[in-house]
Amino acid sequence: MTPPKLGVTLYSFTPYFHARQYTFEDLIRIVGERGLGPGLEVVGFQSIKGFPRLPDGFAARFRRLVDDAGLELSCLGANADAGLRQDRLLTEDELVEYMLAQLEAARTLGFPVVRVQHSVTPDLMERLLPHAERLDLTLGMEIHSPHSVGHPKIQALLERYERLGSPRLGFIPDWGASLTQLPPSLLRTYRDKGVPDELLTAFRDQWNAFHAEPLIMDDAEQGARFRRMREINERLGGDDVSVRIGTNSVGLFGHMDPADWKQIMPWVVHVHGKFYDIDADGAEPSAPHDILLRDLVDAGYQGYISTEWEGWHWNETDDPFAMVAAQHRLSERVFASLAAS
Amino acid sequence: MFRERIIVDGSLTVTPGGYALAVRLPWYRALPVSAVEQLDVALDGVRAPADAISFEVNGRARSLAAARDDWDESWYVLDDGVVRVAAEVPPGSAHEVEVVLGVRIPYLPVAGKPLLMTERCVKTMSVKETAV
Repeated sequence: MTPPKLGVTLYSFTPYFHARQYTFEDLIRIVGERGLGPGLEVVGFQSIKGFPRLPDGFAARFRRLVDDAGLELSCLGANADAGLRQDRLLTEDELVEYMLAQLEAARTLGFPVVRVQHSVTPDLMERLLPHAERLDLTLGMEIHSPHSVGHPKIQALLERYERLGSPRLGFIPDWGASLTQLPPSLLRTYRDKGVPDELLTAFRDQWNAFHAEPLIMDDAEQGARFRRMREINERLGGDDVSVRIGTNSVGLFGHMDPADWKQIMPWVVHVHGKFYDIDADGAEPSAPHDILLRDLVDAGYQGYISTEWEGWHWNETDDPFAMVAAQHRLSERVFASLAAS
Repeated sequence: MFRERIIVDGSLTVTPGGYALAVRLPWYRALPVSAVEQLDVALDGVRAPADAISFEVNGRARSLAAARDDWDESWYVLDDGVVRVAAEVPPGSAHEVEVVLGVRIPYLPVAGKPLLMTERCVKTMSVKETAV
């Protein structure tokens, strides 16, 4: 059995980077030194000022730095900024042009895979395909909460992929779409910040109630869930801080069955190993790694899993490097037990 | 996200026509300048009218109205934005500053309308120095 390759997205270290505590170059070096690769994923609009324009000589310096750190480029996170303008969404032609500039940057930087987002429709994906071929890139549509494999947008892409039959188009599962419960550290952190237990319990109960309902199939249902959480916040005397617990729970923590990723497994070109907590037993309490990794291994997936720690949205005490390292240890333990069984 | 980082510590200056301060983007990546849909500033509880505020990134100041149409320029996530306000500044070496920053998240359209994320930050700060 050849397991998937591990790696990390620098997004995991956002609090340090945003605080100007570590530069982009520092982070690459540290990922190498601490053995958090080999796969390296970067969000273009985060790490590179002026992206998708690249300063002269930047790409060569970047590739040397990655080589020196003993890392391998896994995926460039592009953004489908359909809402670039205030007055209207971009037209299809504008969005193709916007994505194409990022594809060119990915090629120049040496990334094999580009993450795209759901404003790119099946038609636009098809229009980008010849460019992916020309630039030797694979395009992966991220499946992120509140979407799921059965969402009409994803199903429409899947149909198009099957018709086009190109290995250069695929999906990037984000494990945040298939959580089994709210991250325990979320509730703990806000309890420590003084948010009343009654409100925290109400948010949790509402998330659990959503969990028992059918998955979101359109944006109107998502809007209704945002409103439901805001109502709970108001009814129980919450403020503009506590409301985020509720609204983030709709936006970040999806309700898909983790075993349902199997439905799109042949089309997986990269994985976002999104996680929030590591418990006392070294397990992830909300993202069942035994199931998530088992199904990737069973499908023979040998690409990268980019560890993506997002607990920093509320957790300001745990060190992101240590969290990523702990998730890698968990992944390696699961791989070892799968190999032994 | 990062609401406490919006107002840059120690950045308040009194200018000949008012005051200025530095602000950070409460988000993880660069956004187009036009994503700044709301920028409310108040000093000691006195809220500045929108047309008294200018916003500078990449060395170029613009009015808030002009910022909304500026989608070619981007506000990089590590860069300070400079907010200048034309106002009477009350006497005293320390002031309470409040900033409410609403940014459009351009890749998260819900039913055709991008998500707007609004964060509020309040800090009491000493005046750094008198800028020109």
